[in-house]
Amino acid sequence: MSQPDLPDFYVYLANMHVNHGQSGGPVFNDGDGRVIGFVDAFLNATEGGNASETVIVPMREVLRLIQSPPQN
Amino acid sequence: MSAILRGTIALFVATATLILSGRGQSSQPTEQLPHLSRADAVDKINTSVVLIRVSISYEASIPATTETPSRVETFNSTMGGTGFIVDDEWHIVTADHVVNPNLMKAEIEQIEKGKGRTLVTGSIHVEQIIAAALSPIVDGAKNPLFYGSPMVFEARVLKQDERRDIAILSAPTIKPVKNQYGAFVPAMTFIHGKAARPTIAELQVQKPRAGDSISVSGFPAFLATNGQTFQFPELITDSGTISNATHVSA
Repeated sequence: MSQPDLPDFYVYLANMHVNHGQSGGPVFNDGDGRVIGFVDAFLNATEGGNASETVIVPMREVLRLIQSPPQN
Repeated sequence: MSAILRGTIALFVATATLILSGRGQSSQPTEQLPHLSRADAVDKINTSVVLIRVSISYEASIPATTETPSRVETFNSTMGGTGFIVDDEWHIVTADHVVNPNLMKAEIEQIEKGKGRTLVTGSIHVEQIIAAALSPIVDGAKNPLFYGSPMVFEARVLKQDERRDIAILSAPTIKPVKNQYGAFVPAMTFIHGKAARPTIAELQVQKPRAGDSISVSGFPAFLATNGQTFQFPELITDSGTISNATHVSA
């Protein structure tokens, strides 16, 4: 069931190795070093697949939280 | 990062056109930056990366044996993750599951289950969050030579979004903290008489394109041969490509 106050949000997927402990690590462009987001999770391939995808939370979502009102 | 395994993200919904219509503005200039080699980009970002260690306590029930009755005991543990500095007030961005007890629950339950114990619901408390920024040793040409002399400071959660798994930490009082040996670690590193500080990451709000080359820096954890998980104390960079910049999560 959809939640009107909590709209879906998008993430980036990447073909990249990550390990436990790298959660929160900055993901950046190789060409200029700017951070596009951070490592959040990885999705394992289902049976028959042989790869996983790294989930990246975009900086847009991060800046939205930074610019939001203070929390208690 | 086992919260990382939360399967709730695994929604491959092909509704990308809803998302990336250019809403939102960069908080930073979007001018064309000089093209860097990958190694240059790593040098540029690594001085803004911090190691995060979270000391937690929790209660677990221990079943009765023929010799002892069932009981509840308090346990201490350390969780770890990575973050990066985003402004000159030392705000640090990380994943919420690194610092949020609610999001650690599944992992700790699993660990305790393996030891024959049961986590007491609602008993996880974050005792302390420590961030260690690795100050660069800079040569005359302003090139980072190596990353050492960690600047260790205590942090607290300033803002968090549990659903999007984002946490913003702050270091309101940069003060020395004790290391595992009980010795104070300097909160500030001085190089040639000048305080060395970590750098601020440059941010990009515009979405990347599938196929873009990217890298991630962080402090991975590994399983030792005895089955214990430990966090690798060195900063590691892995590289790859964006495979989809429009995946909708729920």
